[in-house]
Amino acid sequence: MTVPPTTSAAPLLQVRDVSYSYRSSLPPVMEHVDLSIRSGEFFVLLGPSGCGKTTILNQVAGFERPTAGEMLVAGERITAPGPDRAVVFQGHESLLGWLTVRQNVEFPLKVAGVGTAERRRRGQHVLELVELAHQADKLPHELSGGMKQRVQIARGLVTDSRMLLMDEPFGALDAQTRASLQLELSSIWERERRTVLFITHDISEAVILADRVGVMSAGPRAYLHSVVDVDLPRPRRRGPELNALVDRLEATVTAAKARRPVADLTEAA
Amino acid sequence: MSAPALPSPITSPRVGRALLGVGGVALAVVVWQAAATVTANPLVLPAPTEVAVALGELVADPATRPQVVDTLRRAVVGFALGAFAGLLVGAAIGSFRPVRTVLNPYLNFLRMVAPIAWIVPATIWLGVGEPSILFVVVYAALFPVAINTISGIAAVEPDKLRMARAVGSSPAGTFVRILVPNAVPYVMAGARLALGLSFMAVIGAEMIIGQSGLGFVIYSARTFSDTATMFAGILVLGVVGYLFDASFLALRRVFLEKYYAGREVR
Repeated sequence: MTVPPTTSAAPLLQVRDVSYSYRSSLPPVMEHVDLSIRSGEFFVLLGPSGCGKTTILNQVAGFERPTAGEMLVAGERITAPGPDRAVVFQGHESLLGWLTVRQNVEFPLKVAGVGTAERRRRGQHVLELVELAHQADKLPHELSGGMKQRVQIARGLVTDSRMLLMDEPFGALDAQTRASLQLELSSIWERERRTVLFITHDISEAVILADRVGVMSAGPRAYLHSVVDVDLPRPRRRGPELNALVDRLEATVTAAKARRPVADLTEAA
Repeated sequence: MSAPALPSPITSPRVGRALLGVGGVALAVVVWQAAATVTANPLVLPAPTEVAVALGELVADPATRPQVVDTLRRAVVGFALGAFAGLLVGAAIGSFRPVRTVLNPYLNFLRMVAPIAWIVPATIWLGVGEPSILFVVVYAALFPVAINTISGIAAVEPDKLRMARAVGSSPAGTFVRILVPNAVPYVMAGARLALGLSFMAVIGAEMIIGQSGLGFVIYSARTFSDTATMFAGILVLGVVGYLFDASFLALRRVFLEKYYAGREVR
């Protein structure tokens, strides 16, 4: 709690001693969460259902407010949603069904008052990035679930937001689509280097995507149990190295659920 | 039973349905004719043949067209004004909680009052004439549109609103870009109901205070115990209403289809 505010070395997102309860009569869903995300980092928040990981994302997005503690983006306290934090939702209901894929992707620019030509140029760039340029004139309901999520990713990238907040974006997809989108997102991120906060309960997804993984304990009174570095070259495909890390992270998740320190791995081996 | 043959034109579902539809109408005419024969009193129930003759006279009479035009004008103008007012009232109630608190009791009280019940107060305020008839039609059209607009605004998915907030949309921008387009299928369902109710309201008003129009024609036929002309008037009314409803749906398909894309609301 002695971090000096807003220096150039300061993290992009700071979560400081955040707690949240739905009602004061109930125990907090999570408490005393401290978290820093560096600029350009891919941070995955991993945890079981009910641990408050989606709540944390909603608070970073500005949709909800913490009961205690504060959140800062680029040194400024988060009090409301803002175009500096783009959101990719789990379901596809945030897509506007009466607009084409292109119009959906350009929507944030339209709201921001960006001119038609510039809108078209930047829209086309992100559509190509997510490989949807050939589907640009379709309506969302004509696309598969995976494509709809790619539209959302493109919409998230189309502005110069500082952060991309992704709330289990692949949670509703089948395993194959999910695996290919994970690799695709990974390569897009390598090109764009947008800071990402990504929520999931899928351990291998965390290892495939993350620079660092924050592991939450189970709720109520969930806390940030540990933060694990994932130091593997991208693209990350399944193999012995990745599997070893998945195993290690699994042990951490098990320990976090039981609210105890990580078991000694040499003992387990 | 299920021989792997190509469906013949007669048994193909589309032709089958058309035949069934025509058959349904034919059956009704046969039953009607039988009932008229049994009744044997054209004052009570004229036969389809008699009504066809009366219909022929009515359609051939040059005085009929202005009657139909008067009714249509009142129905369509009243519908347009009422639907527009309903849209505004519904949007205001749906978007602003204080407006909802104040107006909702009025809305739920007034919508339960039959439009025609206002015809006498309307004549006291507006006189016996066009404005009073229009008042009743506007009244009939307003509520279904208002209520469906409120539902349509309430039915917006929360993620759409969150997305709008996240991209920095103002409340007015969100209203125009998300709430209104999202509510289109609901508003149009209300408008279609309102169109039907406008046709009903205009006839009632014409019967009571009208100096012209199909309602006036049907009601005047009573004076001469001309049941066949009453039925002819009712037939004209039904056919015209049917055509207007079909045109309404056709226009909706041409201009608003994208707002229905991938949605269950029809």
